[in-house]
Amino acid sequence: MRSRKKTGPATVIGIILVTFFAVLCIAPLIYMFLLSLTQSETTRFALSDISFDFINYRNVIFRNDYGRALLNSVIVVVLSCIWTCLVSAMAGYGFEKKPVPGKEIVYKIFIATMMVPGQVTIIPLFIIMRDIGWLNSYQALVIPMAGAFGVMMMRSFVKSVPDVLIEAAQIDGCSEIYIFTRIVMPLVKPATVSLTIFTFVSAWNAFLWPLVSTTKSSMYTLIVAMSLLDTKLETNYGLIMAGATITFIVPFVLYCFLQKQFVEGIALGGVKG
Amino acid sequence: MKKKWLALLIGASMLMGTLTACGSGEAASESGQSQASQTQSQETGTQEAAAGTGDASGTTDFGGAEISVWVPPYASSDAAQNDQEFWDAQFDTFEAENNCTVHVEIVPWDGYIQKITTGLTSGDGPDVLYIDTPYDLAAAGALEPLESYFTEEETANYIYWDLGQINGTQYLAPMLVGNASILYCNMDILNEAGIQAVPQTWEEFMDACMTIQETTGVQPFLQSWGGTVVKGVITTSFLPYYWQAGGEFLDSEGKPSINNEYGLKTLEFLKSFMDNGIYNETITAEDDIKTKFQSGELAMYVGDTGSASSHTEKGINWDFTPALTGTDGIQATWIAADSLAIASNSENKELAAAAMKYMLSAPVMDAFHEQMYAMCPITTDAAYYDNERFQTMYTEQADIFNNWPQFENADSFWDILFKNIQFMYMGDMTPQEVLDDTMAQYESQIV
Amino acid sequence: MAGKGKKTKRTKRQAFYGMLYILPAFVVIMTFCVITIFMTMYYSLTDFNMYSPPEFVGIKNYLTVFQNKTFYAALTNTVKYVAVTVPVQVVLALGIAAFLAEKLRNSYGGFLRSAMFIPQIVSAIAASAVWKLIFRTDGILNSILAVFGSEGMNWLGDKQLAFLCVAVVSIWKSAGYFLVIYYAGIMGVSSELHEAAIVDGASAMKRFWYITIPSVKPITYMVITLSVIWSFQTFDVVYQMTGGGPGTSTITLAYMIYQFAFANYKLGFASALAVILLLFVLLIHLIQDIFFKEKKEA
Repeated sequence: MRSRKKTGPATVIGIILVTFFAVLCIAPLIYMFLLSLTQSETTRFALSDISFDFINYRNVIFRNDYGRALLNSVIVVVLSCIWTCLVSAMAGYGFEKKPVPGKEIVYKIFIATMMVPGQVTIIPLFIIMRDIGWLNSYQALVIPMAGAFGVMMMRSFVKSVPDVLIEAAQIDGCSEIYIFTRIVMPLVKPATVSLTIFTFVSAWNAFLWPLVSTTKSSMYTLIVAMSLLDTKLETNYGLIMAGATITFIVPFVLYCFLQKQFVEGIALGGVKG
Repeated sequence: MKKKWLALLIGASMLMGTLTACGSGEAASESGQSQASQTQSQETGTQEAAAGTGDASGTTDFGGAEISVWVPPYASSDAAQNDQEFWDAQFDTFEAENNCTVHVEIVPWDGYIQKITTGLTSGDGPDVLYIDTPYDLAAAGALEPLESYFTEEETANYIYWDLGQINGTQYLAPMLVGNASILYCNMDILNEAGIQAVPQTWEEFMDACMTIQETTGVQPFLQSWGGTVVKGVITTSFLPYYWQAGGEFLDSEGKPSINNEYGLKTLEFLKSFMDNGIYNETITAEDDIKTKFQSGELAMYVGDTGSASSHTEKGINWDFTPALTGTDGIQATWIAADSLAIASNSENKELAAAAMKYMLSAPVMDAFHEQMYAMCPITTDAAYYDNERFQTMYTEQADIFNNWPQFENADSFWDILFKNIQFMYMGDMTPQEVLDDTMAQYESQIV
Repeated sequence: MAGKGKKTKRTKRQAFYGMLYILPAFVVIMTFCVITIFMTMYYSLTDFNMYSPPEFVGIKNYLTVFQNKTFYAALTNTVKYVAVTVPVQVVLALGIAAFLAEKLRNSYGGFLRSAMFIPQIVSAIAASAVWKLIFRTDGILNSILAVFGSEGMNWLGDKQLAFLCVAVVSIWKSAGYFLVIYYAGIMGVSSELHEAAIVDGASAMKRFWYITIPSVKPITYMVITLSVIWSFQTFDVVYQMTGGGPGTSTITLAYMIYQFAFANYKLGFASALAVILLLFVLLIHLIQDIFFKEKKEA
């Protein structure tokens, strides 16, 4: 059907425009990578300045504690994904399938919190974390990652789990934990994948909260470490770009391998929500 | 008043410093960046410290106590050793001799004071801290007065000891003094324009700018008035001129006061670069003047003395004057004088004080100046490691140098001033409006 | 009777389990998203910094806020961000998604979509660091313009242009995300409707206007909501790229809150700003709701 449609001049112009936009989307990142291969104190560089000795990368990782920051980011992201999926799936199941009195009111409050910008709550969050001594800790970076979005997404998926299935299991005398882990969770697996990817991207790129809640370099996440690469005493754009490239490479590699899940996950989250 | 008296002190003690350290000073000025002799000098450094040069107290058994020391990074990103490695190595001997553990935390410059403040109030902060904006912390009682931890004999050895007072109390021990904002000139460009010597007064300077512009077409002069590093801009692009104009920064109550004839004179001078066509509207985007100077696109700029060696490396035929002289004959500029302090909530202040003295001792500071970043010697027995071309300036012209004025909520003041001067360059404010608005905004904030 | 009693008991037990399931999310969301809002409201009526505990001062902070020039600049900029980025993002994303769905349902279209999604996975900090270099007066963008004989622009040094630069980076970062959502939505629209319209001889433009747009209305609602929230929160790009300058031309409420809370430690003042930000988000959301409802009824 589609192939029979003829391509008019308008379509050709459209394709060129969209291609141009796609190039604009990735060109800055290619520029970032190329610049990271130069020892550049200016932003203008010749192709001959590029050398594949990755010296900036070595400096950034070994001289600037980037290795530690990378490790922190991985720990925070993995824990955030597990924590968010678990909390959200449990709440989604509880809201959808259990006769909890007053649950709809609570759910409405949850949904309303999605409208609240992070800057509104960050001051009390900081004070709370400081007073319970959680600054510079993984839990301070991980626990607040769970939020209403995940709950909403999980609930909309749990809805599709047939009640009969759960009731049958209950009649068979299956324990609650068994029902949740062996029946509900496998059925909402696509949602779990989506939410994991969602959480991965937001935890990896989180900036404001890690910036204010960590004071020790041993607790910096990669993004915070990157933002602090500019030293007062010198400028090496190549080095800063190397730092930026490293923060990008992990999500990018994952995206290349799990592209379908990324896009589907995002779209799913969007459409369902 | 204070300035003159300080100058005497600095001058006298610097002279002593240079006399005692003559031999090593020469060698070191060349090896500013060489790391070849690094391990060797470290060893000798620590051995001297062990011998207790100029330190009467010797060693104490602290029973395995632990303290943490927070300092900012000074090593360049491609240096052979980073700050962590440097300080850890320096403290090895100290830890062994005093039976204690010192955790060194390197805190990035960006957001430095925020990290320190958060650390101090969360109870998981430093015992010894490096600081350049101490006023608010001292006023809040977060810093420990130092008088009782230092003997008179010890304080006499510190050249800049009196710079560490806030409202009459000694909260700080000055550590890194130097990196003054000076006027660099590319002499090849100046000569091409027929100028043989570095301009010395505001008038000569403006004339030189115009001549260079007309004869060579090279950008004569630029200042940084863009970017996000506000305080760096203030030290090179505002404070020197304000002092040269004759202004005193703090009034009799210790509050900032720039809304006066000197402030107006300063801003009008700064604005005249725009009016005379030396700057164009991109001035509010300029944040990297140094590389322009080093690529030969810029004839003159005001920058830190720490950049001198890289100018030479880039093959720039540079000369300098420490500071221009204002219309009233006043020559003045900014100098860094960052200090160490002890947190008042430190659980082991004796150990903190001992660690502090160790960091300030001649062997450790010499090692720092030689291997990490060259600045002025801070004790009478320390050597001069900075670029030899600045030695006369730092020793004989010390009276022209001023450090940050210390007052409440200073960072906020600089931020407002910076933004308003940007408005002036964009044509939205007159110099008088900048002064009025800066003071009004600042005052509404501290109430 | 006995059966019913057993059932209530069972229901009660189920309700108890349900509560246990909801409990972790309840604690997290209540503590970090609900109680904190009330704490911010309380803090906004107090004077405190990192050292002193909150001290009640009434509405003093709000009076200070309303006298603050930077606040009005930040408020105007924030509203301007929403006004610029939201429509551009929606139009770009919907337009490209509809075009791809209509004309490029092949692997090349898929490749384009993948490429356009990439900015979404870059951190705003890294992206801004690159864009900051691109926008320099001696940067690559002006070099490219020079090839075309242009003198080059004062991107980050000019008030309007700097604002535009921040908006461009925000749009660049999010457009691909909305595009993917729209694309999935459009692909979900029944193709029979389209086929019927084609048979009736409706042009592509007409089909887009009368079929695609109405059918993706719920998605548009969601995209606008997200886009508004993100625009209100513009922080990372400003922090890394402009610091709010030149002057106050790119400062946003979100950035101002950060500055006062975590750089100047005027926590009471910053809390008052946060409350005002919250009110604005709610106000815009309300307007959006009314607008969408009216359209539904019409």
